Amino acid sequence: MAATTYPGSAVTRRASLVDWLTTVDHKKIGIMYVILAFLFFAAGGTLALLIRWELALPGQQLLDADQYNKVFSMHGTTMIFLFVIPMLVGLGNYFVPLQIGARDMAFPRLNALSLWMTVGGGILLYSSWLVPGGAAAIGWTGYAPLTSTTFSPSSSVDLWAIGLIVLGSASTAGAVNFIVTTLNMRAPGMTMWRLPLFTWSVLVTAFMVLLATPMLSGALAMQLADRNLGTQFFVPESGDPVLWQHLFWFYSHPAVYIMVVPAMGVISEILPVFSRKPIFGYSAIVWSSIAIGVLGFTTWAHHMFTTGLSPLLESFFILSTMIIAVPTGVKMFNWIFTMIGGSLKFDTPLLFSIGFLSMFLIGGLSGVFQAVLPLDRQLHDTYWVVAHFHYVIFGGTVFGLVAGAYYWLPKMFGFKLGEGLGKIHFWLMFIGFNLTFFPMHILGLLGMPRRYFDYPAERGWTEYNLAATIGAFIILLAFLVFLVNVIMSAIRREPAGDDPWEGNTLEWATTSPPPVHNFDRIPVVSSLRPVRDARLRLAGEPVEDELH
Amino acid sequence: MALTLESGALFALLAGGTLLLTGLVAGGIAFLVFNLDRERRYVDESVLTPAAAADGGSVALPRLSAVSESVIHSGVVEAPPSLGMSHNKLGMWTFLSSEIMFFTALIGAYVAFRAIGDLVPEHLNVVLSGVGTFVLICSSFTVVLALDAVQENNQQNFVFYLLGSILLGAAFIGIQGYEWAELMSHGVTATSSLFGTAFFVMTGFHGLHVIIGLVWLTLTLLRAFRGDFTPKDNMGVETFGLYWHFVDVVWIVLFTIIYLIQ
Repeated sequence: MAATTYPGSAVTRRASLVDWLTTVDHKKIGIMYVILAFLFFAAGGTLALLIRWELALPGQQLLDADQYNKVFSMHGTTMIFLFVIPMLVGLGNYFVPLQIGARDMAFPRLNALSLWMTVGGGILLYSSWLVPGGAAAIGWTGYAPLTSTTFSPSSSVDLWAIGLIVLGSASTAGAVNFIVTTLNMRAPGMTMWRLPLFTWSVLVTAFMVLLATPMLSGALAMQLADRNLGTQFFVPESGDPVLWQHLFWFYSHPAVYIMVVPAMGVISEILPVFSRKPIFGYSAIVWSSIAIGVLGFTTWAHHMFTTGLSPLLESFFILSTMIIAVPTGVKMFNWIFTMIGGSLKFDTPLLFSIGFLSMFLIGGLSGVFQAVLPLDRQLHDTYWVVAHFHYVIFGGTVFGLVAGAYYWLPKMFGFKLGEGLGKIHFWLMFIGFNLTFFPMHILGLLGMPRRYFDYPAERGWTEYNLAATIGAFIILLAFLVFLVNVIMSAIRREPAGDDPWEGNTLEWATTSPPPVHNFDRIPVVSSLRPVRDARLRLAGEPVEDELH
Repeated sequence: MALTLESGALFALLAGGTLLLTGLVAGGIAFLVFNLDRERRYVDESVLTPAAAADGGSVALPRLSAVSESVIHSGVVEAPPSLGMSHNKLGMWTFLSSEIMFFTALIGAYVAFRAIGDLVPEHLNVVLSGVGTFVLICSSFTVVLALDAVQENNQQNFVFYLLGSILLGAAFIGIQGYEWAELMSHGVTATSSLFGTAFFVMTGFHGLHVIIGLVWLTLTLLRAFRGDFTPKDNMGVETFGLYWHFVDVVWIVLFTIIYLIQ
């Protein structure tokens, strides 16, 4: 059919490099976040491979102890602050305004500021490699008094702290932007109970970022004052080093949910589309997200069971940690029942979503084990914990993010990704991931401590470590396949059309990629799945509005 | 075989090199494949206007599928704010809730140190700080009066109250500076004790907020001289007011826990 031109339709021109660097368009900013995240994923992934290379066999392979400390510290910091979070912010930036039928974020210039502050924070963090003494070797947790000038005289720790403050301020500004956008810029008829589940998850996450991040900024400010002004906040002799742990985990436990809730939102978008069914229990998913957002603030001290807490506090944190598994379990049932009875289309996004479900389930359950105090005392700081949080963050979030990439890249760039290579990517990543991280459970139970650069041969840990190292290189291979897939698909340029998956939500009701202004007219919404309803109406089929 | 890397410089090279290399590859893809040009890619010859075609085909109109067309067809040109509230006001409230958590970290440290049993020095000047508190509360009041004046289009009073707020805020900073100097002359510094540590960092961050507020207030005053604010458009003043009252409330909390509960 011929295109209809509405008044005010944009006449577009080629975007130059200057356009990209000065843009306030949420879509361009979103794409730059995603590119930034993948760059740091490559850097953090290289560090991970160095760790695995060192641990492949007993004895020193590649790194000495001090270099190893720097590598694993920067690996953790990079993956959390410069890969997972920017990636989620990027997808949120691109798709929240589209899903709610808005033309942009509420504060476009603030949005650009957040992006460039994230870039600046990343540069600050990585410039710590260049100062004498090398990068910060303090773990991603930066516990006091290890971070004091006595034990870490290098100014790399200051760069680390300042970098994190800048990154934290960027995500706080981003959170304000997401909250105002979602609450105040919804299209007519888009009530909160018609909000797509990805947007809901970004909203809940934004509230967590808003309230948790300043705690970390405050703690980092104190750390910097201790190091540079001679204050005594975390000095063991007079101050309180445990205070750092409280403030740090008050941010960093919610941070786990900050990283996983948006991935849950991605899954909640993909499953109904590829099951050809409505989501099972929309409001249960929303309420469980909110519950996770609230309960996430009550569990931080379960990271400190071996630090020593009063028995009363111990019981409280055991209980709260077990309770937070309940809303997550609710979601599991929602997702599984969405698939049951559906006509499943096993395209790449669905494969990665199922990968998310199964791997995140393992990570979630091993987390509940650790809530049991006597067990935690044994497992704390062993490879069990490393296995657990990689099952949550890699098995959960990264699988979810990759699912989102396969689902949404056609919308962002206008061409389809190759299905064949996508499936190879999935199986390589699934096998590589499990080969890397499952043996770590056993290593932890055998007593191998984390953060050691070497281990004796007679402990019987060698085979598991070697398996993990092989697995890590399979993951590398998987992402190389992904890169090849993106490049080949971009060259092949098979048009995706407006709606390659027969989606439900408003981002599928505009061109791929969308024009600068997103929609020629702001859609008026009257149901939870406006695009699917329009499709049925056009085909002359009845639209039963079983949901709102 | 153990291959040991010699120095941190090699690591810098490795990490930086990876980053740079990936950057170049990604940048290359962006330039060559995506052509940094997301708008032009779906140029359908049939929708090119003659003028656009003459321009080398760089101008195109987006073309929608039938489903998209039907979703957009019933749409509106612009949508009002869903909550009927300005973005700025909602954004400021949201931002301030984040600020509360920042001060909670600092206040939490102070309360924890007091619980350990760190002693409050006898040199705290309750009376002087009480005056400072009064001055800051007055400045909040004058900001309210300024907003009231601009809403009634009384530009003269508006400027007068803004100026008054600046003077009162600056007076508070002066009193704070005097109090700091007094304490330091008695040997109470940020490094002398836990009390000093928490006191100077806490009041320092609060003072920084007041100074930022004063800069914002001065800019507001300059805009007021230019006649930027009218009874219909004074959101800039109102948003500033929210911030200023927040800084005021934080001080009242600090004054209470430092000076009144000893």
